[in-house]
Amino acid sequence: MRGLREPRDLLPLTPAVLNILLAIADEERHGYAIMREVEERTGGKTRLGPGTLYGSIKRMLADGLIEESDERPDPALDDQRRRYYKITDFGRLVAGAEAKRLSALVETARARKLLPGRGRTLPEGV
Amino acid sequence: MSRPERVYRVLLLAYPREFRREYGPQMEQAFGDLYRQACERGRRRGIELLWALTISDLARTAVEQRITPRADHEEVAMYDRRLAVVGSLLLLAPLYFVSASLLKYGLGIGILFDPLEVFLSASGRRVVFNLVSPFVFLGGLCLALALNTYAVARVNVRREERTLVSTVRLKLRLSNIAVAAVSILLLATLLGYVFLENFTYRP
Repeated sequence: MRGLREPRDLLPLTPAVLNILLAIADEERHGYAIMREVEERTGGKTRLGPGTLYGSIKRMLADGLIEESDERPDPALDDQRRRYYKITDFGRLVAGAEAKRLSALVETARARKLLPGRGRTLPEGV
Repeated sequence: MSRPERVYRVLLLAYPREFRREYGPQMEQAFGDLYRQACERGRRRGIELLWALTISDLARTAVEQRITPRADHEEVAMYDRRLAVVGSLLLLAPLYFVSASLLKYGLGIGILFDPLEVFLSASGRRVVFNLVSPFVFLGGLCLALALNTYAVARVNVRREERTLVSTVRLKLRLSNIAVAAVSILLLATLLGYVFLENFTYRP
């Protein structure tokens, strides 16, 4: 089933799924570390609750976007109950396709003067 | 384990059992970490915000997990087999009654109906039978039909990007189809009999 799927079949991704993929794009993380990374990266604007996180993880595992990691980055310091997740090659393709889709939307918004041009910033509060 | 963590463990009962089994310990641990983080920051407002986020997250995702189809095909197969078994048990009483009546009044064979007649001849039993049997027969058949139709054609409604998306998944499992078909047949027979008995023209 997964072999027949194209990345675009899974688009658009939900904000939670995209944030989780971004959080584990560079290193594998456990659930709480994913929550922290998302909160810090978005300056506290996006917070994933445990239900949203693990509901998304369940779906992402079924879709082959992520997989559980057998290795533990630092077993001595870690709780054995923790599970680490890493992005799959298919997950990278899907995240890339979603980023491209969003980028095209941003370009459209910029062309229609809804966003300032490159290098400029939005006024405070926008 | 702190008291809030114990409360969260109880709240996790809102999720389906298989989801809890798979992710419950990790969710408890994540909540515990979030709670400790909020306590370390030492602000009461942080703890209140954590509870608000947790409760709203739980209410939304528990419903979502209960209406989304199970990913584990083995579990789904076992669940469907259970529905077929429950449906078969619900069919037993109406199947016996309809078969016994058809044999008795159609072919004159009383091998099934006569013991029932003897059983009901005791005082009071017929009254109870007349009161209870419509609920047991019709209710049981409707329930068997509903459960096994659900096993064959699962309807899933989920929310995607502020849009409700519904899908129907067909699973042609012979046992579920057979139970649903027998339920329909028995329901048609019983309702047909009720209709003919009550609305037949009698000069």
